[in-house]
Amino acid sequence: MISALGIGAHLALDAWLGWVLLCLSRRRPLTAEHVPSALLLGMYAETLWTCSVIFLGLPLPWAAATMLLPLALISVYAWQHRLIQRPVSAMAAPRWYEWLLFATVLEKVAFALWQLARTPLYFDDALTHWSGRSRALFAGINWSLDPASPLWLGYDPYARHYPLLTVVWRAETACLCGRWDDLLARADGVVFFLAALASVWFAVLRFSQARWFAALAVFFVAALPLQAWHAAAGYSDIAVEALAVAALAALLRQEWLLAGVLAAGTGWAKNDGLVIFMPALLLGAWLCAATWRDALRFLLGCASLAPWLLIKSVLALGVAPNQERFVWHRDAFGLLIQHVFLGPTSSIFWIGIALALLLSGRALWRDQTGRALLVVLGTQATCLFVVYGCTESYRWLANEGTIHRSMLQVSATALVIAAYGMWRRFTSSPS
Amino acid sequence: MTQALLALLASAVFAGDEGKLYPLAADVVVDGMIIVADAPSEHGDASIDVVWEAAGRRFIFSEPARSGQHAYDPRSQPSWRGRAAIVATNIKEHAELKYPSLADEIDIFLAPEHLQPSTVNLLQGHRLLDGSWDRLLLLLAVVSALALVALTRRPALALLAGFAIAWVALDVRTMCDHAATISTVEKQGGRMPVLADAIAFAEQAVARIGSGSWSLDPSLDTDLLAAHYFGYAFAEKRRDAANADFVIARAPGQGEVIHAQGPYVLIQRLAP
Repeated sequence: MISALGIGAHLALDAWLGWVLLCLSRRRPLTAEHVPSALLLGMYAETLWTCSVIFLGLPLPWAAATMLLPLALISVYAWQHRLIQRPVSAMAAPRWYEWLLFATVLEKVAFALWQLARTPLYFDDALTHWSGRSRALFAGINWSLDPASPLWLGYDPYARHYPLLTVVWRAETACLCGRWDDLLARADGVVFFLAALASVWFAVLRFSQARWFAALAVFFVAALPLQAWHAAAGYSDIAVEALAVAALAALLRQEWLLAGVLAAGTGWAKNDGLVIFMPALLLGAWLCAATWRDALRFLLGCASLAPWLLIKSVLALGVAPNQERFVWHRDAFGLLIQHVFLGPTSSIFWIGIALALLLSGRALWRDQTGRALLVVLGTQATCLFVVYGCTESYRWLANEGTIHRSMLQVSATALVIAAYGMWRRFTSSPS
Repeated sequence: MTQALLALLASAVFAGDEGKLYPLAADVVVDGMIIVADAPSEHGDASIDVVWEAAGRRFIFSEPARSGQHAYDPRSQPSWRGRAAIVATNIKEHAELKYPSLADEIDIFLAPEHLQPSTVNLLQGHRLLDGSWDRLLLLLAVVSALALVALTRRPALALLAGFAIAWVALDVRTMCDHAATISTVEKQGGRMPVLADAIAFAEQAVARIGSGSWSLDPSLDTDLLAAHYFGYAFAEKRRDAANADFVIARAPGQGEVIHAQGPYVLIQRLAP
């Protein structure tokens, strides 16, 4: 109960922080579609701040507490200047297909909540890289900032280069609750799952103005079998997925600064963000932007990750261990086809995406935004192929240890891009 | 072949595995055949193992056991072809090598996605009529799309609808998997596959470690998941690889064993 209250309070704090930041950074009305972005923005900003202060030498509880003063100041400032907006929403009553969608999403959430309530933390990387490090950070015992210590950044030497969004968030929640448990070790997964679905809904609704189409898009993402497991697994792949699709949605709204910040968030959630999502979204922003100022705003947003990049640089934390060598693996393409397109983990999802892009490719290419989205998806696919086909990460393709999680990260953005293409195709075809 | 002769052949082929493997058939062409076995409820989270010897080589097929009589399908294994000198399984009674009936095919399809440590990385999927369920979904999508094209004359919309129909079928199957997972774990009292002993051990050991330090014995290098679980469970206790007060191991070592659960022991190091 205490953990649930602590998680709720932490989320509320982050949502408020994100909302205030959005209110301060724009004068146009904020709508309900900004709510998932606000939450993700708050989680990103607050954990990055706390982590930066930790690396300056303050212990976790004090580092987290230092966030409260600037939060209070900007809240008061925004309040006094009447900058706090209420989200504008003109949602009509749910239609029958939205009730069906709600039921299927509810089933996934219920399954995740059952896992949280009735099973212990169970999966390997959650035990080590994510919640294991988080618990060590919370306790402060098996955690050191001394590079000479065997406990430097936790006792798992393979995870020292991993970014710390979920690690810090869970540790802060534990501080709030006064103790650690397996609920707060994983509960953020449900939040990221719902944030990803909400971002997909709003993004597709925005360009299609068709609620049935938005509902279908959300259904395709929500029913991907691996989603419900990752909503309670304690991994960070679902966080990357949520941040990536929220960044894409912001890009489609032409909110360049926010898109850049959320893109940076993918790099703060997992190193995959630095390698796969930030380059792709940067190219997309450059192609979408009407002026150089818009592109600059996006870059400025990405630059918000500077504190972490500085820490990585100073401490020589690479992107991954032993990734310096490029080695071409001849059978990588075949394995990708076999595992991703024909395997049971993603089922027919990627076949559907590929067919949608084939059908809508011309319509996409004729549209400026469509071209940018094609470049985003193409860049993501290329980066994934380079990682799995040309580096030692090939083994994680061959043994299927990581490839499907990487595809999970890309799934929501790919779906939105395919949906955009299909909608362009529908509206450009003669009836 | 009589049971006695079968047992004699099995003991010759599977020397060293006596008491673990029980013969089902000998000198049999296995193409298209499945195993139907009645796993007792105390089989727990163990697996059904099917072992066969062909062309001088031994092959094994394993699948998580389901309580009661169920069909297990090795047909997807490339090596489950041709003539096998002998086929055996680890189920002592009520196991049969046979050609599947329709009821068996449905039972194979209904086999749930089992929760296991690899579930977060990849899913095992389902099989129906000796084919991948996902390829059947693709067929369903295409057939539905073709039918809708004939009705609507709008290929893009028809393809979308066809995939939506297939995705609904996938989702229903997935929800059944979720229900089965919940049922299995709850029936086993929350016991998690593979890690049950490690979790139970850690729950008791954490209090015994108290304010002392701990380390992991190299014997846990062969049990990495448990080792990682202990690393998580004891993350709030001081870890000291060189001079720990307590050592977690898979076998008694130097010091007093103050707690044991399954294969794991907590050893209190003797003061010098």
